[in-house]
Amino acid sequence: MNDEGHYTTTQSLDQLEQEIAGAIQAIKNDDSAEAFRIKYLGKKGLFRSLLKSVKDLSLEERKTYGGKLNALRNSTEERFGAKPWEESMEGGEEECFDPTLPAWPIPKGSIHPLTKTRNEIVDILVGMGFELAYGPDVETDYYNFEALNFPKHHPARDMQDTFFVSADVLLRTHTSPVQVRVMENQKPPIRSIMPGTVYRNEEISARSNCQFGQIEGLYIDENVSLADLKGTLLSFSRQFFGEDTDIKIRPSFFPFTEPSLEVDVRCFICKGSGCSVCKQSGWLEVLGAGMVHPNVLASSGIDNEKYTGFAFGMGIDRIALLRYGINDIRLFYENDTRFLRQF
Amino acid sequence: MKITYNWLKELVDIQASADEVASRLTLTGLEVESVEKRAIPQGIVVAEVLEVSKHPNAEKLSLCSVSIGKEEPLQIVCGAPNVKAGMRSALATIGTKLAPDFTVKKAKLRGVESFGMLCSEKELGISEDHEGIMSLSDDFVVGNELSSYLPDDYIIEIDLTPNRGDCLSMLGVAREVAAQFNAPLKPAAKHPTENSDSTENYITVSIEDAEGCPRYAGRMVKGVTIKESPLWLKNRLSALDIRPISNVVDITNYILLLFGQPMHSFDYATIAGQKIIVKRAIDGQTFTTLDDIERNLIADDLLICDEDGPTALAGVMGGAGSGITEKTADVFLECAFFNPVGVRKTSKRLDLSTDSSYRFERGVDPESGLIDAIDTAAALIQELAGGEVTKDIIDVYPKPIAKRKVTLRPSQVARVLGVPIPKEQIVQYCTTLQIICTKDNDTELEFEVPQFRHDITMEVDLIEEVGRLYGYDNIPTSDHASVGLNKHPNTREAIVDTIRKSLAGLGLRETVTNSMSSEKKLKLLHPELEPVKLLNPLNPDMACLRTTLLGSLLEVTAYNSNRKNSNNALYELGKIYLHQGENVQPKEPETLALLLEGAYLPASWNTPTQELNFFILKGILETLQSSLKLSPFTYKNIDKNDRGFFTEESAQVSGDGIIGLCGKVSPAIAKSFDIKTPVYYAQLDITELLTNGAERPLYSALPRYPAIERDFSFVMDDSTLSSAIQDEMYTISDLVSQVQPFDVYRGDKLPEGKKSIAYSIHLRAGDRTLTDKEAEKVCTAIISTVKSKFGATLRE
Repeated sequence: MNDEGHYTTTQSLDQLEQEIAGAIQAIKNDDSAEAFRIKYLGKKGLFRSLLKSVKDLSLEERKTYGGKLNALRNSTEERFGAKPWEESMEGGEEECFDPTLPAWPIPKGSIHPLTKTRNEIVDILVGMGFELAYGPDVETDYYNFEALNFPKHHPARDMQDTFFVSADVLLRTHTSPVQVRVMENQKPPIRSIMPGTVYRNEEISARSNCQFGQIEGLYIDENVSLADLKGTLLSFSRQFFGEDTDIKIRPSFFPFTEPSLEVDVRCFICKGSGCSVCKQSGWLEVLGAGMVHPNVLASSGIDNEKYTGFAFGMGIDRIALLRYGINDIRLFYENDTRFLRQF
Repeated sequence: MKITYNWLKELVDIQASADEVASRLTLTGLEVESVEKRAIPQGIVVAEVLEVSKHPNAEKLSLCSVSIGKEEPLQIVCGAPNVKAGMRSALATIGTKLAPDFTVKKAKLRGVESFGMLCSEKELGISEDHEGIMSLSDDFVVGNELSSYLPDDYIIEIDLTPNRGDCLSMLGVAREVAAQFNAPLKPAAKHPTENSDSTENYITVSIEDAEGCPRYAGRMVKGVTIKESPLWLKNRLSALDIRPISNVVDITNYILLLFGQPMHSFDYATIAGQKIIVKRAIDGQTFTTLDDIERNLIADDLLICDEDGPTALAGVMGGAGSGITEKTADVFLECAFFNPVGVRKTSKRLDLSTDSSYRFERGVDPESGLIDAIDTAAALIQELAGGEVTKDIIDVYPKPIAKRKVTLRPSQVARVLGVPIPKEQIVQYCTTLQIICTKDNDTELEFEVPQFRHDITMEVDLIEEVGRLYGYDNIPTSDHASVGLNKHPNTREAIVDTIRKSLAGLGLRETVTNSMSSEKKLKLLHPELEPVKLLNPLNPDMACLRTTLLGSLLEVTAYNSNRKNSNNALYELGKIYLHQGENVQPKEPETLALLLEGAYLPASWNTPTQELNFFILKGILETLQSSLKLSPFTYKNIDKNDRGFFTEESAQVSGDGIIGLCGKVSPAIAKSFDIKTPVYYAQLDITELLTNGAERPLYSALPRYPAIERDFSFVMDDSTLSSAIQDEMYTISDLVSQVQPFDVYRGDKLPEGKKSIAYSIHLRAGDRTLTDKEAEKVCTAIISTVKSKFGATLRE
């Protein structure tokens, strides 16, 4: 199918040159370029076969015809190599390009705001030297109450409405049972944090859910004091809520700590001047804490004359509500994707 | 618990405002929830009804002429049945603001003008009485503002912690306020005038269970007149949410509020045999309480009995029939100390919590507080109901409860609080709380704790008291911490983090759902699993712990579909709970669930819809596996009988520390959750992965020599798995470096029951460029092996 028969004279090469110029101009894309390459410059292309026939020519003809053919081949390769069609592909008769059309609909994922909040808290506390520990959701009465100095038939048990599976098995009402498990398995110094899901048998409302996340911290060593607890919580609060945060502590009651305290953090929204989030008080109640009760240390086999310790705990859901300005806790558990995509 | 500010000021000498008191109480550990002003509105005046006539146009209304001390009487229309000429009452004059949204105006009632409103006690918040307008005694001067008799007050609500039973009373809070403000307490107790007739002549008291009832005191008041309580008493009870009933009952309630001591008043005439016997119930015995409910009792329950049988459930509730009525003439007052645990057990078992049981559970004062309470009650009855108080209290107290002795080392105060507090200061703080130092050798102090402080039993309890009074805000804040260096690597958090980020990057949204579900739904998804059931669920929809995450994710999907949030791609990292037997903790596998619903990609202006299929789900799992640097997962068909909620388009998937199922959820299951679009789901147990972590991969050298590529298409039985052929190819020669199926064909050109799969095979040697000859040898081996092992032939 090659046309070498047409171009056997020196003059006819001028015609070939014209033909090639037209063919190069006609190239619109890579496919037609490849067709051109095969036709003219390929192994079985026109130039190869014409050049093969040169050896049969007279010396004179070899010089003139062969020289011209070689020059034409070189110039063709050069012109073809410059890929003139690419320029026209990019810059030619272009349609008006509209970058404002919607993107390709790559699905977008997200991480739940409760997870994000938990991880932020965990990261700060890990940075402060706490190690993570975990425990089961379904606990025994012993770990959830008894070992934490909640005697049977004590009204303190009313503080945490409990879901029971059987007389001695229940859904943990706090992450504190993990404290006991950690103390049973490790020797002081202990510096642990215990995140997890906890359950309370309470009606579901905008302000509380029967299930929520909690993070508990525990530090036991020689000479750990309330001053250390205050310092730790102040440092955490400033890292989490902002550098200008202050804390206020006041007495409270948890059976497993003595003294027990509630920790209020200066409202990070109004900076203490009073707003609807802090109910005009300027303070937000976010943490419960205290010095580990000597009975709790003793029941986990830790010498309470040698060691003291502190513990603190916070509700992840409540902190997430405050952090994102959400007014209904149920939004976290409904998982409306219009809600989830905001985080 | 609520207290009133005015009453508090009667008990402790302070000048501080209600708000100051409230903030101080919060700082001392009695957290104040709210402070609310309680006032009789200005404009309510004492009025005298001069004349009453019938309303011309209304049967039930009266036309009254009412004096408020001015020259001209006012014309008032009144609907109360008790209005009569000569009575004194309270009139809301025109302009009085009775409620934020209710101002009294001149009104025309059925054609007659009324210039004010005669008020009921309920309308003024004094009691629940709305039967008629309130009636005032002649001591109230016509024309005076009613507020001059009932001054403005503040109701302070305290969220009391369960350790502070001693503060469940006006007196208890007053003691705290006295200690905080260092102000003196005023005497709260009154004492009756006794006659010479001994109480013992009227009644005998015996305790058969001294553990359940360590102390029982009684008093007799003879010849009382049961009537309405005076305004101040009704007002005080109402302020603290107790409904006034009649004088004697109101007085025992007043004592409850003042001293925190529950009392019971008996109509003496009903006490059979004039005997009080405190004893345990018999198993199976029944007793009808005041609320007319018949209670089934057990031997743990303590009863107050007379000769005929039980008259009260000790410390919880009286019985119908022994209480005070209008006809009561002689009153027997009970004032006892019941064992907190015993009362709590009964109250919890019967689900019957009363003001009385609440206080007994938390411990009342068995000592002087108890005697003050019964004396004050008798004195008040004498004052407000008349009658004579007989001589002496009957006091059965076999084993007096001594003051607890607690030792405190000042060095421990410094150790726990982090600040040294001088010994003298410690003693002084305790003294203000009536905790008296009885011994002082240099390193140890011994204190006697009053019996009303049931919460102070050991050294650390005293340290807390010292800390509270020292002020937690005054304790220094340390600015350094010693950190132990003995750490364990935490692979769990890193893995979980990678999973979340990887799935979020793949377009899945993380959900957090409740662990509780309905038994019906769980049985639908996993009929073979017995879920863990709760004894006391919130509702039937949350009665069990979930055995799968599918129910939760389908519910979230349905919730979103109903809100037109389509094409849901969700994941959750949570636990499922697998029953292991009665009274045993369940297994809690750490579970990762993925759910895709609708289409993977919706149609867009330049893209058609990408429908979901198994291999999209598989692609997500593969990317996850790659992010976690795990070796490739293995997929196997699931036996028809084990597919559960999956369709045929499903597989068992397993990998390093991971096992689970994935595939298309049966449309019938999806439909039962109200979802009609396709649903794909994967659930992986990742417990082992999280526990043991993943191996950190080592680098493998990049190939230095080119691969030879060969394509083969094999015709095989439709039941042959592609992976089986692939796996086999790799075993044929080390030179096989990659086998990738690139086309699958079933159809006309092949016999029934056959398919063809085309594989692209890469052959590569690590140390040289392969020759065609070497490659041919391997290819021949591949073809013959595949033929002999799978009966698959090369497709022409």
